Amino acid sequence: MSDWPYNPDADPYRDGLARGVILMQTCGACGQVQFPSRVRCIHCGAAEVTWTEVDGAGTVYAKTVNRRPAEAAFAALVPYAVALVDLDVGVRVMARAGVAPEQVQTGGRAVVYPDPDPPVLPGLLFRPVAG
Amino acid sequence: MTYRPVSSFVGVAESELGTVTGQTPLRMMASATLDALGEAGLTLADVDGLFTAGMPSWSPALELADYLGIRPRYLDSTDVGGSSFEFQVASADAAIAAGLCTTAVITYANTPRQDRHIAQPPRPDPTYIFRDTYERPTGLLSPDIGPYALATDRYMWEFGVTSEQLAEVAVASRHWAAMNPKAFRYGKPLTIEDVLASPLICDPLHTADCCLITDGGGAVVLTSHERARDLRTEPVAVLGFGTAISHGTVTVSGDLIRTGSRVSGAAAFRMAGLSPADVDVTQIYDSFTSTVLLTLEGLGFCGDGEAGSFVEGGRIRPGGAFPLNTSGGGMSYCHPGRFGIFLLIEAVRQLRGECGERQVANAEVALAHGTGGNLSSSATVVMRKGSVDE
Repeated sequence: MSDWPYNPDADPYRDGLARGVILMQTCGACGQVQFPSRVRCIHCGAAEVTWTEVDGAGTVYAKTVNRRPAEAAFAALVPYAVALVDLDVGVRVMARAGVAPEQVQTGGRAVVYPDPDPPVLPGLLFRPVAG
Repeated sequence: MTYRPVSSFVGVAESELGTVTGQTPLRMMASATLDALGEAGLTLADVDGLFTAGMPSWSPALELADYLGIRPRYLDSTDVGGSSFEFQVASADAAIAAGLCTTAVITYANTPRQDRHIAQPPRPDPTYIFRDTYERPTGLLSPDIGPYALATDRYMWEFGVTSEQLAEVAVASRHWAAMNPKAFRYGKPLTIEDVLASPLICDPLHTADCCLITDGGGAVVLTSHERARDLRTEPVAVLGFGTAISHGTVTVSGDLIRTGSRVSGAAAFRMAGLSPADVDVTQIYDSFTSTVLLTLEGLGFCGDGEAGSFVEGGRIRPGGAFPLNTSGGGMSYCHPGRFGIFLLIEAVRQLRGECGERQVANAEVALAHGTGGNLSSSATVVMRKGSVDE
């Protein structure tokens, strides 16, 4: 996509979303997952970071309902919820709700998944799950 | 070893505020700088330290120095959002202590309202790689209200703080603004019901939970305590400061509601040898109503989750026990993008006893706290009126 920022750290992540999977970096030395991805591990500095598929299960840390679109491509979606979701693998992600805003509960369990039809750029959606 | 600040505020000034015409940030910063120097009896020739942030320039400090026609030996254009000028008080004091400069000007101006009416080529949005890569795809209203709305939601969820309690911050600011003729909302009353009836933009934040967008600028002058004694204005001494960052963009945030103000406030009080109970008048960055409540808790004026009830009952309104944002703040006085400079200006004026109808009686100690970015950067400055013997 032409608007995708030049960010070689994130190319595998973007390509993963296109295939329907969430890829993140795991450190070959200390074993920690890091997100966003970087040139080396921020926990131990090691250069051996490998890309692995992560599970999208997590907990909604905070949510908001956007009553106005951030840009024109989101106009048809208003109102839509956006949340910070703390994944069980130990990282936080931002994702838009794939369900109506009323269904989103702060503190509730959720699953994050690649947006099959992203309005502007490849990204993440989430939906609440029974927890 | 405890660091002891060496400098005093000796001049403060605003530029034209509100909705300006025929202005540029450079013109406004120069006007405010000359007025702030002038009240102290200083001139541009005395300025050997120059601090600025937020001007959309290839090099803000160089461009401002050119415009002022000065060649300061110490420059700082650290930009961490609206708290930049509280951060720069810390840097300026340290530079004066180290002998790297003797007289520092900190200044800011911007014209977001005027810009809506001027035909000029659009500026590209500034980039921030994590936001552009991971947040833009979600459609969060960003960089301002969305992240603050997320923090506010979390705050309400953890502690049961209500929209009415948040609204009190906006309403109290309007009461103070009623006594500040320079305030953008001067003579425009506001009630809790008005705030709750204003449109939601990013739940749980309504339009009236948000700061203003106005034009404006300001400047403050700092010099050594020793030099300050010989100038025209009554000095206001820096007693303590502290700075902290918790994240840049919220994707990499930790605890969004226990902000960096915990670190910066504790450091500032420790340096000053004071506690929250010693503060007579407080200026806290009010980008959103929730920013103020989170900061009151972070600075230790009340406990976790208690700020909502702390502000009730008129405590932060004129005549209340806790005079807060006495200019009317970013909610009701002005907000040209980075409000931190105005927190310092109002704190100094209150300690000098120059605030007329809104003057807090017998104010000896003031606190100014800036919050910048997306609750990202925090800086606290504690100050006391009068000269300090070195």
